[in-house]
Amino acid sequence: MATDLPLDAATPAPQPAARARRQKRAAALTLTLMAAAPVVVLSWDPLYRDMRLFSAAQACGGPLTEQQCRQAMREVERRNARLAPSYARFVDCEHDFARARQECPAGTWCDADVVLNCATDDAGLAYPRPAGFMLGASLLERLRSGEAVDWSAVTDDQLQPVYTLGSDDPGGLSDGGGYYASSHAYRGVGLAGGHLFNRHGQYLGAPGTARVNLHYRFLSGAERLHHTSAGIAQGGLPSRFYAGNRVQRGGFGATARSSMSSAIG
Amino acid sequence: MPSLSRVLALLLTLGLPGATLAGDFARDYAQGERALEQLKRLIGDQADQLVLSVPNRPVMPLSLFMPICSPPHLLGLGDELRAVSNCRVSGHSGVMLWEQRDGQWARGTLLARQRTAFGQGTVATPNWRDLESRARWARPLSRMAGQEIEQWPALWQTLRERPALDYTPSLHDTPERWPHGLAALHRDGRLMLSGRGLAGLADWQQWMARQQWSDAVVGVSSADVTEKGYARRKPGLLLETLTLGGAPYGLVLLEGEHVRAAFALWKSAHRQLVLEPLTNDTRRL
Repeated sequence: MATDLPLDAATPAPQPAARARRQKRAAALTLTLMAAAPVVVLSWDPLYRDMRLFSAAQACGGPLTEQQCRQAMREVERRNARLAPSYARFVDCEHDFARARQECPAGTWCDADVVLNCATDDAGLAYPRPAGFMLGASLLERLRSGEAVDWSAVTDDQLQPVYTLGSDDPGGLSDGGGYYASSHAYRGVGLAGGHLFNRHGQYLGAPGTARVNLHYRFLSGAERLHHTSAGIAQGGLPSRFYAGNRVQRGGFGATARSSMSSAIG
Repeated sequence: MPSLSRVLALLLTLGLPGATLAGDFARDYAQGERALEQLKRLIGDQADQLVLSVPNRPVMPLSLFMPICSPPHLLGLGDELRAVSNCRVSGHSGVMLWEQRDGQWARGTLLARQRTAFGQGTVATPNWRDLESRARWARPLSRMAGQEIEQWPALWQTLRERPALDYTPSLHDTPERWPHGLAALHRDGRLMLSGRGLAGLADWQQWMARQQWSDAVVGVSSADVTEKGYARRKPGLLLETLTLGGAPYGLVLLEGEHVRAAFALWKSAHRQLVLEPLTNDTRRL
């Protein structure tokens, strides 16, 4: 005949030391999971895209074939007129973007095309030319596998132009070298800065940066960003950087420099 | 039908003493040549009317220093008459700047170079304070190598023979601002850069394309000037480029009566020829 025994009597009481060890293991596991969760969530976050950066100055060396690179650059140039920030005054665009795209030694006459300057669209608005492009990682994989890509069908969140500031680029001072130093070695003018920004003025990285994890909102939106920096604009707005109905304070240069300062201190 | 600006430009051109400008220059050049011969004689005679300013030594008559100098060459004409030569004096060697006072050669200043503890080249001269206002060009002059001094006679000759000084393009309708990072624009479209900041470049390129250019003019550059009390960067015709101390310089012809530039080589009533660095390095000296 079975005898109902109290539960405590049926199972031996765990030793205090073993219980403590078990609790510690559970706590360690919990902490590990808590620490890893944001990493896992971020890496899986559909709002972030892994983008690869390609600078035109680097002649697209790397994962893309020369032909793929040329095709991508051509497509970026084509969609740049639609995506690039626009300016009412050409000189304002020059102020933000005009720069030497290749070395032009000081005291040397260089061809005019050494300068990467802004362009003007049919409406008379000025816009910068891209310094390169960024490519979605998934698209890059397709290209690497040899898949033929219809470039015109590639969405903007997979292929976008990137830009480089023309002046007042704090990182550029170290690159441009001795202009402001007392060095007697008169270095050439060119490749100034080279820090890359997206069309919203968000800092993407220093020259040579190969990849960036970018929030979707910085890749989305087909609308063109219009910049009027000449005091009070025709519409009565003071200097603003606005997109459609969305108005932001500051111009592209200010946004870019602020973003860059936040990124690199 | 010519635009109003074209008509104004033509009237301004006719109004300016363009025809006599080259004449003024030729006259001052001839006077400069004569003065140069006189300076050579004075140096050869070890004359007492010339005093020398040499590093770490009191200012004394030339005869007490017994300098060994290469033949001097003109470095300015007219009111800006001065000459340079290479000299060795009292253990120092360097560029000697010969200057006049009251129409007579009076002083030679040795712009000898020395090295600081940190290896940076500086100009050692006993009267550096005298030269402080001219420090901007004293340093590049002190760096002039022998062959760079020798280039000046040919340079003057070129300017004298060219019709550049009679060439009067309408510089009055130029774009508002000169791009900070632009050193010069060549008449054939090429450009020379000196740093960053190219806002306004397209305006200048379009302006250049509208002008009728003569072979006598290299292109357009600019110079730091004070005009009516305001410091500004003033565009001018680039007549020649040269190298001083390994750095690029330009001979720039500026217009305007109330313009003061750092280093004028020659002046007339409405114009002046200035020596202007073509890099930001040298602009900041």
